[in-house]
Amino acid sequence: MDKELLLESKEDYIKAADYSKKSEKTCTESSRLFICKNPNIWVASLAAGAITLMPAEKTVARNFEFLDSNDETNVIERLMIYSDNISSVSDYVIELTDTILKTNNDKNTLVKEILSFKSLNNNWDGYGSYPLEVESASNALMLLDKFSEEIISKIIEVYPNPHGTVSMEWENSSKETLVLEIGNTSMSYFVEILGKETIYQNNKPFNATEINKLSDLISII
Amino acid sequence: MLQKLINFLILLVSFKKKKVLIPDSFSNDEKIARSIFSPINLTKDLKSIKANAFKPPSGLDEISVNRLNYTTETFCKQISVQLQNPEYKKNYFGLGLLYVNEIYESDCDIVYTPLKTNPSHSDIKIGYIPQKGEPLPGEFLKKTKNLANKARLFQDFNLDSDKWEGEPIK
Repeated sequence: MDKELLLESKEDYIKAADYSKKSEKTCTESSRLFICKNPNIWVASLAAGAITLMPAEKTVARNFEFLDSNDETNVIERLMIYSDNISSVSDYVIELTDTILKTNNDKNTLVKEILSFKSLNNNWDGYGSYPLEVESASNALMLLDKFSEEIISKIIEVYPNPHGTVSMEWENSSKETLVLEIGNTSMSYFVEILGKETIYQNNKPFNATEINKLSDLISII
Repeated sequence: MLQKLINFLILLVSFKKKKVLIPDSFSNDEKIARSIFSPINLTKDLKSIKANAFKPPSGLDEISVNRLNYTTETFCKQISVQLQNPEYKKNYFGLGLLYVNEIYESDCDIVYTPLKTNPSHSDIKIGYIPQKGEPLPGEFLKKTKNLANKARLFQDFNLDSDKWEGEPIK
C-alpha cells in the first residue's frame, strides 16, 4: 500500500480498532451468551459456528462463552445481537477498504480520460471545435494531483469543451453543484449551494490560495 | 466520402421540393433540436446531456440547432450523421430537445439563421464569445449547464437506419 495513503488511512484504522474495542466491551457487559445444557445447545453451536469472524474482531470472539444456566433468555435473539455487533464492525472496515480502492481507481481513470481528450482533432464536434489545449490538459492533471482523494472521488463528470478547455463537475444528492472549467492560464467556476446565492469565480490563477479555496468549496458539496 | 456527398445532395433536393415558409420570430412553445453525440456529449449513465453540448466554439456565439416545428427528426438525424466522427468519440446518439421559452429562461437567446442546405437552422446565443484556451466565466458556465439540464434526451434506437427511430419528439 502507498505510504502516503497508509498514513492518511491510519486515523481511520485507529477509529475502526476503537470501534472494535467498544463492541467488545458491549459484548462483555451485556451480551455474554449462556448456552444451556439441553438439546438446543447443538442448534446454538451450529448458529454460532456460522458467524464468520474477521481478524479485526478476534478480541470480540474471546467473550463467547458456554455456561450452564437457568436463564430463560432467548438464545437465538442474543446470537442475533452478537452477530449485529460483528456485522457493524465488518461493514465499517469493508466500506473503508472500498473507499480506498475506489479513489485509487478514480484518479487513474480521470487521468486517462483527460489524456484521451488530447487525441481529439480539429473540428471534432463538427462545429469548428479545437482539441484540448496542452496547457489546459496539464493544468487539469496538476489539479488532480493537488486535490484530496475525497475530492477526486466526488467528481461526477470530466469532459472537453469546443474551445480547447476541460471541465470537471461535482454534484451531491441535494443537487448542489460545482462546475469548473480549466484553461491554459486560469480557471473559472460556479457553485450552487442550497439556501445560498450562487458563487461565481472567474479567471482565477492556479496558485495555492485559489486551489485551496476551490477545494474548500468542493468539500461542502 | 462519396456516400456522404450523395446523402448531402439528397438532403438539398428534398428541401428544395418542399417550400415551407418559416417565420423569423419564435413562439415560446416551439421545439428546438440539438444533435447529441456519444460519449462526448453524454453523462456516464447515458441519460443526460453534458454542458459541452451547449457551448459555442471559439470565436463565435453560436450553438447550431434546428427548428423542429419546421423540419423532421429524420432530417435532423441525417445532418447529425454527417457530423459524426467515431474515431474521436463522436457517434451520433440522438437529439436533445428544448423549448424556446426554456432557452429564454436560461438567459440565452435564439436567432433564426437559415442555411441553403438547412432552412430550419437557428443558433442559440449565450451572450459570450469563448476564446481558445480560456475558460468561460462562471455566469456562462451556469447558462450552458442550465441548457443541458433542461434539454430532454431522445435516443435514436437504430443508428443504421436512414430514418429517425427514436420516440416521437414532443
